[in-house]
Amino acid sequence: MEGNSLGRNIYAPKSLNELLHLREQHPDTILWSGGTALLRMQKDPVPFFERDIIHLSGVNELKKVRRTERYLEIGAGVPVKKIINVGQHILPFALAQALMSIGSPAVRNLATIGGNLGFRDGRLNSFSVLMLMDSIVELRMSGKSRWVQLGRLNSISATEVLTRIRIPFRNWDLQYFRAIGDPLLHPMDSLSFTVLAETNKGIISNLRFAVGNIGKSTLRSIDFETYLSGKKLRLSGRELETAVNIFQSFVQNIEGDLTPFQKDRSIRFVRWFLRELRDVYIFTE
Amino acid sequence: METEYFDIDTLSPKNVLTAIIIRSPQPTGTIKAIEFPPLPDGYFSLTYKDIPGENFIQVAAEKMPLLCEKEISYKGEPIAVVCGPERSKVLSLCRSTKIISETNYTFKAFKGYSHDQIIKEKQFTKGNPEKIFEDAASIVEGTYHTAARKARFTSYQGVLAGYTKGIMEIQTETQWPFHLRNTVAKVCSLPPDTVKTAIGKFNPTYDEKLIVPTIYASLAALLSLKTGKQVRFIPDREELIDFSSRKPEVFIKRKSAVDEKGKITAEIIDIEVNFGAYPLFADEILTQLIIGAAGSYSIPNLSIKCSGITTSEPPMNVFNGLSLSAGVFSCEAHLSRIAEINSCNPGDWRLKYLPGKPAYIPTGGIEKNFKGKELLEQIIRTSDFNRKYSAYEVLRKHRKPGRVSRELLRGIGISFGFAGNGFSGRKESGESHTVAVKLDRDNKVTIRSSANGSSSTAVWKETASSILTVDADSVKILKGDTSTLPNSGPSFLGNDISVVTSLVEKCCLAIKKQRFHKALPIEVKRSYRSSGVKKWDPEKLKGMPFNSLSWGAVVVEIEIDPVFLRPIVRALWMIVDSGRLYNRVIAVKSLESSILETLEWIVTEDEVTSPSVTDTGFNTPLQRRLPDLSVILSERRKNITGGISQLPDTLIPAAVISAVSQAAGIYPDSLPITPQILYKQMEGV
Amino acid sequence: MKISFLLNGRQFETEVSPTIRLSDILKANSKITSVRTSCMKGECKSCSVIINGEVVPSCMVPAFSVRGSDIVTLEGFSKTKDYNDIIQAFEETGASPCDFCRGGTILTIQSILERFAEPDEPQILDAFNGNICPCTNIGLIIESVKRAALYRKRKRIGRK
Repeated sequence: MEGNSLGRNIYAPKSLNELLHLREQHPDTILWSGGTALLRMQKDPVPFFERDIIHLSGVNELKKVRRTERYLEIGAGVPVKKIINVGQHILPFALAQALMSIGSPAVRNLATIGGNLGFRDGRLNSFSVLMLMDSIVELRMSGKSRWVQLGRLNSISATEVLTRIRIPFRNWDLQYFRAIGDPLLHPMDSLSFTVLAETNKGIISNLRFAVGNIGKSTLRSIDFETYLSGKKLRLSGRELETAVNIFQSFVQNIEGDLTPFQKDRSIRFVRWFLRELRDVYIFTE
Repeated sequence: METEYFDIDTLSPKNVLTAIIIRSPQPTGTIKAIEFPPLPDGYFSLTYKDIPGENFIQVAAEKMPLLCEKEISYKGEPIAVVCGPERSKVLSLCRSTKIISETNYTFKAFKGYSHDQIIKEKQFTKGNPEKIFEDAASIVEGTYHTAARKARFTSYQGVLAGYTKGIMEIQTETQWPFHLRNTVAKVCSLPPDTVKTAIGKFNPTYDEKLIVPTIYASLAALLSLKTGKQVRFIPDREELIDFSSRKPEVFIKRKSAVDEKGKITAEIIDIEVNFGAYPLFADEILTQLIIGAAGSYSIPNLSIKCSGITTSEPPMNVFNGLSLSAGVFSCEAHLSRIAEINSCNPGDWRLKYLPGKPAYIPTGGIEKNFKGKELLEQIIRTSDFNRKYSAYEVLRKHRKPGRVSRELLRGIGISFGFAGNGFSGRKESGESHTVAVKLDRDNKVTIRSSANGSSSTAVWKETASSILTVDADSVKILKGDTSTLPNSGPSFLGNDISVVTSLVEKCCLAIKKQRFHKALPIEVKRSYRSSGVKKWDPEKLKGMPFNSLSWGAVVVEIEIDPVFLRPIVRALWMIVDSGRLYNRVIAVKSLESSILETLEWIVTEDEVTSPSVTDTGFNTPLQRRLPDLSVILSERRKNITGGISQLPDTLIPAAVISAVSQAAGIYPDSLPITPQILYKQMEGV
Repeated sequence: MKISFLLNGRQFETEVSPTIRLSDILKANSKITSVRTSCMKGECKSCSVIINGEVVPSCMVPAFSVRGSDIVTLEGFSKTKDYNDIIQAFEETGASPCDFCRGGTILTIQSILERFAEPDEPQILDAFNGNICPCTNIGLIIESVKRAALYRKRKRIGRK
């Protein structure tokens, strides 16, 4: 542990057990993984933090990537660049796109997946993709661990630490991700779109769609997804219009989270996407 | 030793004091008191009461206070300074300082400004436009808006000042070292020759190092005088971007009388400029706006009124020139609109109505060897403008209104015009330049000049090395300060290339003549003083305003992504005739950089902040593609040397606006063009 | 807080506030002139350094996280053979980044060349995403990266 001139302490645990023990003793600490989002928000010449810091880079258990037949498991402290380097044959295409949209390669050397998911002030690029993929995260505290759906990450308690992300392999033969703008600096303009779908002989069997990077929430319209499931590709003109209308009324009724400009962009995107939708292995522009 | 980039952090000695400015938290009000927290030993404060000399910075006739005395004029106005050995402690002292002020105030806005906010007006009239309007076949009106523009990036490293043994030594990067020296002397009440300004090499992309270093240097010098120690400022990026150079916001209303053939017979133009709180360079900016708005076409009846407005916003003045570009933008965008309304190809329209040879610009200045038509013809041919324009017109006309297009929306735009070099021939601008070149016994060449722009120094080295036939490595731009270097004037508006380079050339040619007749070392000095005054009447705005005009034309091809409404520039062609060029490679490089910089501003998603585009595919980013750039340098006027740095900023905006107009089927009239603006116009929100 | 790390191959020790950015530690060192700061958001790359073999923006790295690291700045990198390839490419294309962004530009190019044997334009632009110093024409930088990649390819073939 090191003190500093501002009276804050920096803890540098060397193992997961030590980290969990520290977290239990000091629940009100900042968990410092890559620190890129935390430092981007800082304006002071010498960054100032109101709470003590636990620096995670010495915890090797958080830096492992494991692959089984059923899932890909990534430690929360794995840098984004290292995940991208896992390779396009293993990493789902949409997730790779989401990770590539985080900063520049130099920033991706520092930023970690855990930091991207665990950022308190808003949902960043990888969240909606991982959520749609039914990813689960391991939350650990001293002597206890539990796996929860990523969408329930908010239930994390003060003494728990996000340690692993498990991404099940599914046959998403239609994947798309696109982000516009910077969710950290311009949350009123930024947006991300994620689409995942399974198809069988040209029929959509399971479609998931999320609008992200809009502050703390991620939007999904179950009506929209349900309507499209079971439809044959390409969509007929009437089906397309109905789907767009369902999405449009969903978006128009949302209050607070989306600006009119963001709403318009989402609707334009949906219309364009559905029109271009074909039975293809991976959807690219 | 050769001139180099400064880094104030690296230059600073151990016991240096670091200073931070306390800025006004509100845009207007009356200061009742400044309550500093108890300052520990070694920490000091500074208010206007501590200033022994004048509390203002002066440029020509205009003044701006260094530290606010009573009436706050804009949010962020410097009110006091605190300095001390530890930067974080200084910051916390600044944050604990209370500015007690009256909160009952009125914000002076630009929109709906009142009459007493007009601080300066200029008028230019030619012929009798009011009468012509009575008989006009049609009248076309348009309002063109250029938003205030801030720097996207700044490399300014700050300032270090120290007062010892009666000499005030300043180290900083500045485009105008002698103005800085004189201001520091006046503020500190010291004789100018006791102030030495060491000049670092710099890269003044936005002219942000013209006035800002003078403010920081003056404050650092005052604190050094007060504390007896060396004092430094290392401003952070937010502070620099918010309170350094800003381009003024401009509204230009144009009303044109057009005859049956589509020719403009008269124009009435009303210009309003937002100078922010202090109108530095006001007279010059109003003049250049009028010159720019008048355009290059001989419109026989013209009335231009230009009003300078002060508001409760930070000062806006110099930013890659003095706003001539906003005038040219309005003129060229308006002409393209008139051409379109008259179902005329905008390239053909320009060719038809450009003046012949010799050409008179609207203020009466004569360009004897005018090559405008040749430039336009060449750019139209090279870019295949006519074919593309017709094709995109067909697409535009066949597009069904109100339907989201599946295809990319395409358009092409053209613009033509000129940029000046230096001030518009005003005596008080102090435009004098001196350069000294010395050839030593060991064939080493040293150049002494106080203008230190990084790209121009490369041109000077090459010029000296080729004339004096020495290695480029043996030519050095001498490091020095205002006590040893000649006054080479402010280093901006293309002066480094157009004036200082020609002085370097003259010096070298003189040395070459003397070389084998006189013993080495030989030193030659050459000076230049603006002679524009003879040809230009600054009161009536008549004559040739600049020593030389650089002409150019631009064609821009644009696509709009119909989903996210992002304008994407696919290709840009630019032809430039600035007379003789000293180094074509450097000229093309610098033009391409300026083109990308201008485009980044006009069509970027975020107005001021990072242009980072986060759309990426797995292996390839989708959007991040450079436009195809073709730059053609035309050196048809060998006897002239003009600057080129302002041309992209002057010509590209109108071409982009016209292209977007064709692509989206709307009439955008505001810069920059953001997806939000397109959304509002296309959706009629 | 006392921290020590390897700086350009030599042990370096300093007493600093633990949350101070690495860029500020390096700027305070008179032997390091290549590290500059501007955006403080990890975008502009003026402060790039190599930490444990990876190019990172040093403004995004707090002091407490670099204890025991191996840090190389342009001063250290310029003594390597890899540096010469990049400089040769600059000379041939005429790209001349200003002293302010030079360190960041060269180290970013190095990071591209380490990842891609034959980098294409989008890959180069992705790496330079956010490098916003307007001094240099990005087209020339792209050309320089491609040339430097070619020199390295020739060297590899030559070695075989």
